Amino acid sequence: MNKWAVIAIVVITMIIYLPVINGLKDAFLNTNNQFTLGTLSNILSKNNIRRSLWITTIQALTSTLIALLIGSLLAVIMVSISIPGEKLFHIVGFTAFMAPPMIVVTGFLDLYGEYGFLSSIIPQLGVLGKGLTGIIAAHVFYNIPLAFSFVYSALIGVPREIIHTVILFSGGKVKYIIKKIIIPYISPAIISSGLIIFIYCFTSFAIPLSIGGIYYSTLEVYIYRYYKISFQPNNAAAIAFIQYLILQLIVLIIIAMYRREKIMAAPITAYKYPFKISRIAYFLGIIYSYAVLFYLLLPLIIIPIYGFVNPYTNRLDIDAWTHLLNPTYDPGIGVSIGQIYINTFYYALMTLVLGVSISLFIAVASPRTVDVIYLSLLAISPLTLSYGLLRSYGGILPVPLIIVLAHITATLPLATRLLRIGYYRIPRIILDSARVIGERGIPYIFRVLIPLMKPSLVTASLLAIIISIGEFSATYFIATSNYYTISPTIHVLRSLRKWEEADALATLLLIITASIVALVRGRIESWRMQ
Amino acid sequence: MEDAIVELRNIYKSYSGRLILENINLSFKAGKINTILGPSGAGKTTLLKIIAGLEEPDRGSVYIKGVEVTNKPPWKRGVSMVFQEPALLPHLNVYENIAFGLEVLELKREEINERVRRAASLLKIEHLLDKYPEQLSGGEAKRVSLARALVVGADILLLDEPFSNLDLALREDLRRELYIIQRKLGITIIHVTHDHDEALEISDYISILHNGKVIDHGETLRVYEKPKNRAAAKFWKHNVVNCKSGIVELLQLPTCSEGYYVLPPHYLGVASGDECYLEKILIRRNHALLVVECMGESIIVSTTIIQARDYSEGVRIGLTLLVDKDEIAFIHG
Repeated sequence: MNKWAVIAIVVITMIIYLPVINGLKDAFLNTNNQFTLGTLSNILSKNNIRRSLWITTIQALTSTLIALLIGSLLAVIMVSISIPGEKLFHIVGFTAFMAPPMIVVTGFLDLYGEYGFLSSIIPQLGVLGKGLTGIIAAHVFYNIPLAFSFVYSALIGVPREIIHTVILFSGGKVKYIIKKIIIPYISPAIISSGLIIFIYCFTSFAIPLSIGGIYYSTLEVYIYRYYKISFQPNNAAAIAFIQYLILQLIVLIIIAMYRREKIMAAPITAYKYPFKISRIAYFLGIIYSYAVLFYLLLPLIIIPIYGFVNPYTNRLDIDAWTHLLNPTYDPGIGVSIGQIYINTFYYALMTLVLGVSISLFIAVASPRTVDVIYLSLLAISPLTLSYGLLRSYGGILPVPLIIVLAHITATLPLATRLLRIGYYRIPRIILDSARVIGERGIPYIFRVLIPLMKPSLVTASLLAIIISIGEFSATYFIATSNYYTISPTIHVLRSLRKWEEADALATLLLIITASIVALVRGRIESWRMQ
Repeated sequence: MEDAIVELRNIYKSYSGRLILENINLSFKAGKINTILGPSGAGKTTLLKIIAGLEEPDRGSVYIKGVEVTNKPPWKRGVSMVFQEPALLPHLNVYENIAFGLEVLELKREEINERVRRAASLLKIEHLLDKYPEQLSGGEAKRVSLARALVVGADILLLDEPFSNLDLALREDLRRELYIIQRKLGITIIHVTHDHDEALEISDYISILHNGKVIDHGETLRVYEKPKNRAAAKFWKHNVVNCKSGIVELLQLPTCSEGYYVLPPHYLGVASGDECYLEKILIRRNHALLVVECMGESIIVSTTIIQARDYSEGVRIGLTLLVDKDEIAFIHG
């Protein structure tokens, strides 16, 4: 194990593993801090928890299957035909994927919610803005780009000569093309992305909280309710423990799949398959693709519009923006909006500096260490971590720092992945020659690693900013209102029925996200496939 | 048997505004090894893919056995193809990879088995049938891809630099085996390569493609020894001598006002004399090349390695013709 791996593991242990263990141990304690299995058995015997487990699983499973179906079909269409405005699909897809959960919530409620734009015209569409169907619809929105991305990468990774061989020897029979290329090459991608989507949906918090309502609370929502509303931390820990076990099982399956996918990995050819597509199939493909595009685009478009619409008079005005641009304005949470902005950007800056630094240490550690850290993070839900952080460092560290630690953890998987690719892109000969001339330690980092990894560091930093600014679950769980950022404020504004202000604030978040996405998209697109 | 089996008429192809193939008119003979020879980027692979139906020409027509197939899909053209990379499906074993094209024909299991084993025997890979592509060496994988292409029984086999990325000895073994297989089965091969030696060794006919244009086409020896133009002669690295130059007088060739003589290195020999100066001796695997400076021009002369031992760099020598004067190609212009 190299020294980078040691540093990475020590840091990760301090900010993630120890707090999580510390938090989960509460599941085995009673109120007198004595060991017991009663808390777990008690929580498992509760009908509402059993129902929540069922809802959590069924919404995650359904969302995953629908997102996979829609995303995979879109990927197959995109490698088969030229679609007008293809770049727009990638931009919208990436923006939707990177959009903070509160943007998705806001967009969905604006369109399909109680007074939603579309649900007012077609009442049947109201099912997409509430309850189980609403949770699924929002999760599908979020995860279509992920499924598309995995499957599209797998398809364009099939060597061109393999495609030609199969076309030549398959006699043009679609079933052979599907059997010999599509299924073998994309099934690992579908399973891997499916498992990751399942985890995202299983641990999603903002969407079930805002759209699902009390009747459709997921396990993550129950952790929140037991800890923050009922003040029963042991019960919250018990639910977190059950959730952790389920996620850990999925991670083990991912590890097995991950190995298989490596065998199938191939160089990227970025190539349209030379299928002979009939005119009808072509038009159906175009219609389907644009339908998906609109499903992704509409929630993002409605937010800025509703930021100018007074929900009570239905007239256009700039009241919300006037309020939000006044730093002393209190949106009704007892804190000025100026303070909210300061909190948001302060956490983002801290996350950028600390998160990217830690990610750098992990990225240059041995590949095995990186894999272990990356995969172990998948099994830890945001609220499980937040609970652990509060239990371990609450009262010891200032709240803003605890929030920053949670944001760092949210940043690590993506930042590490980007930096790792950046690191492995550096020709080994350059690193070896730097070591031969005696570069080591801190000078090695600043004089060799950082300059050589500059593009990936910039990208990782920008993404760290998006993730921190948009983070909702941990911030809402850990912070009191004086430590809120933009995302929890949007949630509170919606609860206070200040929809116009919520939309204006979500627009601000969307502008930041879209700007950063525009800056990093090209780079991410090319790295995503590696 | 020597009729044209594949014909290309006025083929044009461009990518992103760049012309890759320009007015290609070629015919390939049935039952022969036809080679498209050219440097990298000449458009060889694109041309082969147009024949296979994997690329569509911008203009022009493709005929196979007298029938226009320009708009027909690959599987309706009666061709088979071996790519530069073996392109074996990684999730199928060698047997399944070879049988892939047969399964599609929905043949009986026994017939598939029989044909796979026959092809494997022809390519000497019977012992590999249970292995997976990742367990094969480069040469073995090429043999498997060749077997897969042969087993479907197509009359026309397209080969896109099939021996690239192999070491020299293996490359030579495989091309000799391919030659023997072609003679045995009597199939038509259209073969693409950038390797002069490979083209000369196995081809019955050679077409030289340069910058998207055919600069020469014909029987191998004719194309090699008597190129039709200066570009083709230069492509072979023959000596192209202006008919007014002193060398022409030295070799007692008829002088003229305009034109060039094409003197392949093996047409020239060293003679007693002091008109020329031996600049450099280049030892090659089976022969030697002498770089000779004669009357201000650099001339390449081919000789045996044993003869080359008698010379040393810097000595003065004479030059002679080893063939009759009327065998030498003359290019007007």
